[in-house]
Amino acid sequence: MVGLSLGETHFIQGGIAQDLRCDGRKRLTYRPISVETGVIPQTNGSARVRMGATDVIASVKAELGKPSLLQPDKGKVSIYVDCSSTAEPAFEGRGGDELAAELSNALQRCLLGGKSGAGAGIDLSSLIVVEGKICWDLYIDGLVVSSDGNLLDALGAAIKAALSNTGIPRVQVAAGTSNDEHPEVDVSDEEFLQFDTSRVPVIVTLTKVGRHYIVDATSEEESQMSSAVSISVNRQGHICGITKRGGVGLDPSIILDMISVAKHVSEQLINKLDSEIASAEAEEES
Amino acid sequence: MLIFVISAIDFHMPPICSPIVRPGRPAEASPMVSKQLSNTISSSRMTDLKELSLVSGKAAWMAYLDIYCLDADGALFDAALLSAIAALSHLQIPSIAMNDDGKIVLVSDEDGQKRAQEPVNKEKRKLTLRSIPFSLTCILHKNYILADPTAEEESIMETHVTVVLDTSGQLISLYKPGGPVLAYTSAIQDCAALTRQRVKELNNFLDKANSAMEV
Repeated sequence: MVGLSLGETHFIQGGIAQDLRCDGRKRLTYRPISVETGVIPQTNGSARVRMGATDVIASVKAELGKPSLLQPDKGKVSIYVDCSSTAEPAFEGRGGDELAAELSNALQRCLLGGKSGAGAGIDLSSLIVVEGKICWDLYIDGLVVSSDGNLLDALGAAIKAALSNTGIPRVQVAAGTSNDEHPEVDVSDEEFLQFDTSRVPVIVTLTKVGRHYIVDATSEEESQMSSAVSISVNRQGHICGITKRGGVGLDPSIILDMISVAKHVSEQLINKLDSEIASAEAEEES
Repeated sequence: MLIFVISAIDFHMPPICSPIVRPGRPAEASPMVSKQLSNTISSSRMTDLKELSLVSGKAAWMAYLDIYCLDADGALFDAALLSAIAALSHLQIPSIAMNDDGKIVLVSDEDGQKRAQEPVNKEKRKLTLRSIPFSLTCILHKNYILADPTAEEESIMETHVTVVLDTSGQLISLYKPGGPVLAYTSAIQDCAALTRQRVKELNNFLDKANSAMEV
């Protein structure tokens, strides 16, 4: 992205102040969102989400592993984000690593809850096959294909869609195994279990520009930001995680405002996303 | 004296593309395909690198070619080469000019009236592609040849042969990385014949795709 001239920065900031952004949106309006599911056939689940020119792919891979000693009754989930060098020249080589790590950490906090696993968007107990011995390990991978701002919201939406698309093979445990032996399992090729993704939150990022904040900032708008707060909200309206970036501090009352606005915006976003996912799944089955 | 800048070619395999690939552990196939791609594209002389030169001895375009594998299901080199060619045939070089300080600046279309600078190349243009290379990977197994193998087939069989021909029928490269099955002349000729047929199919496919994009 080339640098912005002084006139351009004034135009962007003035537009936000006037509640009429460069592309005609209001401060709290998202760009058009499109969802495709099942885009990568070799994964257990995958999805592609576009918000304007921002384009991301998420996939879910499942394999059998051993539960953690600390939580023998829960499966394991890890999230990794890769910033493609085709998204931005700055991502060439290791350029995208820092942003990718930041996005991975934010998504972990927003979607997976704390170390106890409580509050996770996925019921980790449903990933257990044999308690203490066998569980499903989920590997959630995100790839940023094109970057025009608001990557965190797009990745959060793509992961939610990918989880909706995910099928976990049904596992039969051989009977008669004693407690000391490693159980023998038979993984089905035809029967699949699907996740209950109703508790998976969406992420709403509020970007502060001047005296106002906006949702779904473009790259140019993000270049004018003083700070940004990302809030993940689930369908029940509960806050699942909050992260802040950008160097400028925020008055606590503004943060409370942001949380309230994020809850309101997330209702529309969840409904929009759920209908997009449903139609994408229906289209995939046809 | 002209300065030619050779494209940097990278083939990436993010964790998204295969159950085997994990974060932090780069896939083994990635540098192999990158190298094969570099060799093939430079050997084929598909593009005249002079077209990337701007001002003799001073400025030239650098083309970075990044290929991301989204789903690795066999014959990665074939898919990578086809996508590289499609991208290069879609490449548009912006028009530029040299200002008074001798720096290169982009010329926007709106600036037509105030064009005080001399344009170095006058309009947006595409690369001229000459003979275009296409490839076909086959597996040799006993007396059989398996064209375009899947990842599962590749993991079981050990002998692969990749033949690269260009659109004028010239052999660009032949790649057989070991394996127990010997590549007899008849087998190579059969692979080349299959590849020749494949070249025609892919060339037609690419022409249609490019025509569709220009509308």
